[in-house]
Amino acid sequence: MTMPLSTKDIPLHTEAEQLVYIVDDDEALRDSLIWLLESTGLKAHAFSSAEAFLAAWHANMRGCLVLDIRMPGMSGLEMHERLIAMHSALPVIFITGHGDVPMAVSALKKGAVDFIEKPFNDQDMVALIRNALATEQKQFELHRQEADAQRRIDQLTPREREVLELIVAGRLNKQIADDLGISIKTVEVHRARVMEKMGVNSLAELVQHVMISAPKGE
Amino acid sequence: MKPEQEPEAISLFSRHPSAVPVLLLAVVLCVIWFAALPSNLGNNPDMLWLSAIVVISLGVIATWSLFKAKSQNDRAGEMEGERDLIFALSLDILCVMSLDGHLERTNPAFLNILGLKPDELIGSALIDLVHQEDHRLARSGLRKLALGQSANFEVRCRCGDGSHRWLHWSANPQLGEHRIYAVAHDVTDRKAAEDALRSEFAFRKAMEDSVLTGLGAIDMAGRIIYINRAFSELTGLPSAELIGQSPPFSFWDERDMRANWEVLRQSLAGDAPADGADMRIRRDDGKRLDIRLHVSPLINAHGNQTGWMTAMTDITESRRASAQLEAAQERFIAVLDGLDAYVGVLDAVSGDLLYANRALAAQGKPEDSDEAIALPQPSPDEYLALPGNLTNRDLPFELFDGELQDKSGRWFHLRERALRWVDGRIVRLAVATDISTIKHAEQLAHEQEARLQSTSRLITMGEMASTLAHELNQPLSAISNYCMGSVNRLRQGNCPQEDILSAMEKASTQAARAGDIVRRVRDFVRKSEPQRSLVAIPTIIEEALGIAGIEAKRLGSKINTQIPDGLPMVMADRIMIEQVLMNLVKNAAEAMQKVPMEQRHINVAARLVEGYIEVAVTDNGCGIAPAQLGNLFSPFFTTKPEGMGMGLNICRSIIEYHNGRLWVDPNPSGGSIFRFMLPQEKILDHASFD
Repeated sequence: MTMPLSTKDIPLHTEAEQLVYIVDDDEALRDSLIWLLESTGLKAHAFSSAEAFLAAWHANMRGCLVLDIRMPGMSGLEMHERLIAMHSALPVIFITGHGDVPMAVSALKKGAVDFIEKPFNDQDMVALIRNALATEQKQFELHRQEADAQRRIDQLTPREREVLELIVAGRLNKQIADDLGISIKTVEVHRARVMEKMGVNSLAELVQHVMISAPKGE
Repeated sequence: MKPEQEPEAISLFSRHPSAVPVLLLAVVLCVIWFAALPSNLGNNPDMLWLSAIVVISLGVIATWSLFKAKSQNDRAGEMEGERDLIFALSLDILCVMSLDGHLERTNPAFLNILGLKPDELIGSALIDLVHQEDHRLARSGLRKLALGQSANFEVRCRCGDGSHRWLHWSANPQLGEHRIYAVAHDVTDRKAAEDALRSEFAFRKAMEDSVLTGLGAIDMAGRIIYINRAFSELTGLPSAELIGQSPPFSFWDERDMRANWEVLRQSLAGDAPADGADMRIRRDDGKRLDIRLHVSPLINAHGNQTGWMTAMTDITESRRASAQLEAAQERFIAVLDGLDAYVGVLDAVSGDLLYANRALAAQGKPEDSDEAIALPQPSPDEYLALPGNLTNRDLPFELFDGELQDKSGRWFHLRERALRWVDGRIVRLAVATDISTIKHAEQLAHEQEARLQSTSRLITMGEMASTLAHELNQPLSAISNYCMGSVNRLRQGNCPQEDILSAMEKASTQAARAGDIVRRVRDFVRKSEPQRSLVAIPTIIEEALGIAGIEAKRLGSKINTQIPDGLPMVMADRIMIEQVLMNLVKNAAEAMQKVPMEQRHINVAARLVEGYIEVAVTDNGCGIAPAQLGNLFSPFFTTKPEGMGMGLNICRSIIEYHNGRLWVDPNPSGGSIFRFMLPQEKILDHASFD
C-alpha cells in the first residue's frame, strides 16, 4: 500500500517532545519538583517567574504547565489569562497555597486543567501531570488532523470544492452533473482529483476528513 | 463876601428896570426946557412959569423916581446880601451851572464838603467830579436838565483828597438864563448806613437760608408771615403757598392733627420742653417726617410781642440712626452675652474686672482665690509681656494665647491681649473658651487611633497566618519532593549515590527553613499576647460602637443598645473583646445592605446568664444559609467578595481564649444573632454598678 505522495509534502507540527514547564518563584520548590518529576521519567523545565516563561513561550511548545498561583510580580492567574489570550494549548496545573482556593476555582473556570494544594502528595502531582500530558497529546493530534484536512481542502480548485460539497451531501455523479450543468465524465474527473488531493481512497474517508476540517472551515 | 463885583449902576438898573424910563423922561424934558428958554422968556412970561412948573415937576418926578429907584436899588442890594449870605452859609452844596454842566458859581459848602478849591471848580464840568461808576446816572440827570426838566440823582463825587462822597443832587434848569441851579446834599453817611443794613440783611438772609433748620415766623394770630428756604424744603411747599397759612397747616397729616395741635399749643404757651417738642409733618411727597420744634417769642423794637419764631429740625434720620445705634449696641451685647466664650476686660495694673459678658458673669467670683474672674490665669512668666509694664505705644499687644487647665480639670483656650479701654487706661481683654470637650474628643481620638492600630495588628495577624501558611508550604513541599524523588530513584536503583545525598541535604535545608518560619510565628504571637484586666462590658460596648458605629452609619444602619445596670465585670483584654464586637457589628451592617434603609437596625444587647455575660448582636439582614453554618467559623471561609475569611475565626479564637463561647443563631424575624459569652469575674468588689 502506497501512501499518497502529497502527504509528505505537507509540513506537519514539529514533533516536539512533551515537557513539564514549572513556573514558581521558590527555587527550592522548582529544584525539588524537577528532582521528583525526573525520578518518574518526566522531563521538566523550570522558570523563576511568569515573565521569564512568557518571554520563552512559543506556539509550538508541547507538554503542560505547573504554575504557582502566588508569585511576586505577575501572578499565576494573570499569566494564565495571557496564555489564553495567546491561544496557548498548554494545559495548566495550578499549585495553590492555603486560602488560594477561590482563586484556583476561578482559574479552573477559565480553562485550567486542575489545581493542587501545597503541600502536595507526589503521586497526586505526577498523576495530574501525566493526565495533563495525555490530554495535550490528544489535543495536539486532533489539531494536526484538522490542520491537515483543511490544508488539503485548500488545495482544491473552486469547481472541485463544489463537487466535493455535493459528494459529501450524498449526491450521485449524475445528479452532480445535472446540478452543475456539466457532463458526467467531467464530474468523474473532478471526483478522482478530489479523492487524490484529499489523500483518501474511499467516500467514507473523504467524509471523515471533511468533518474534521469542518469546525475550522465554517 | 461877594465873589464877583459888578458896577453899582448896572447892578441897580439891572435889578430895577422901572426907574429907567422915568429918569430918561426927566432928562429929556430938562434938555427941551433949557433949549427953549431963550426964545420963550421974551415972548410969554406965563409960558415961562408954566414951563418952569413943568420942569420943576418933572424934576420932582425925576428925583422921586431916582429916589424910588435908589430905595429900590437899596432893597435889592439888601436881598442880594441875604441871598449871598444864604448861598455862603448853606450846609448843602449850592451851585450854578451852565446848561452843559459846567460850574459857574459854587458856595463854600461845596468846598467844605469836597475839599476842592474854587479855581479848580469854576469852569470845570460837573461830570469830571463824578465817580466813574456813576457817570451814567449823572449824565442822564444832566441830559434831563438840559431838556428843561428838574432832576434828582445820587452820585459819588471826588474829593480833594481823592476820596469820594455820596451827594444827592437836586437841580432845576433856567432855560432863559441858560443856567442850572443845583443843590447837593451829602448823603455819604446815610449811604454807608444803608449799605451796612443791606449787607447785614444779606448776611442774615444767607444765614437763614443756609441753616438746615426750618425757620418760620408766625404772627399773633398764628399766620405764617415768614419762612426760610429750609422750611420750604422740609415741607416741600413753595414759600408763596406757605406764607399766610394758619394752623392746621397744610403740611400736617390728618393722623397727626391732634398731637400737633397739642404740641403747638404747649409751645406757644411756653410749656414745651427746653430741648424742643416733637411733632410730625407730612412732606409734599407724602413722606412723614419727625420734627423737633423750638418756639421763641418775637419781640419788636417797642418791646411788644408780635408773634413767634418757630424752628423745625428734621430728626427722622437722626432718630433712625440713634435707633440703629441702640439696636447695634443691643446686638453687640447680645452677641457677647450669647457667646459660650468667656469675655472679660480687666485693668492691666490693678486687675479689677471692668466688663464681663454673661457667660463670665455667670461663673461668679472664685471663692478660694482673690482673682477677679473664675478663669485659669497664666502665670506672670507665661505672659509675653507684663500687662502692668505696657505703655500706650505698645498697644494693641498680644499677651497670651494658650491652653490652661483650671482646678476642676476643665481645659480652657485663653487669649489675652492688651488694649486701650474706652476711658483711656490699658486693659487686658481676656477671651476664654471651654475646650474640655474638644480635649476629651482629642483624647478619645488618640485612644481610638491606638485601638485602630491594634485592630490593624489583629488584621495583620490574620494576614500573617495566611502568609505563614503559604511560606511554610514552600519548604514542606520541597522536602516532600526531594524525598519522593529520592525514593523513586532508590527504587529504580539506577541513581548515583551523590545525587541522592545532594537531594537529602537540600531537603534538610528546607526543614531548617520551615523551623525558622515556625520560630518567627512564635515570636509574633508572643508580642501580641492579650493583656487581661478587669473591664466592664458596657464600657467595651460603648467604645466598640464608637468606632464600628461610624462604619455602620455609613452603611445606613442604626444601632440600638440594651444594657442593664449592674452587670458584673469580666477579666479580659479590653481591646481584643472590642475587636470582636466591632467585627460582629460590622458584619451585621454589611449583612443588611440589601434591606431597605429604614429597616437596617442593629441591636446590641448584654445580659447576665448563669455566671456569664452574654452579648448579642442582632441584625435583620440576609441571614446565613444553613449550608454555610457549618464552616462559618473555619479559617478562610468568607461570603464576602473581599473578605479574608479570618474575622469570625479570629473572633472565636479570642473569645475561646477568654474561656468564653461565640456562636450564631438565626434571628426569628430574619437575619442573624451573633452571641458571645464571657465568664463574669467572681471578685465582688469589682462589680460595676454603672
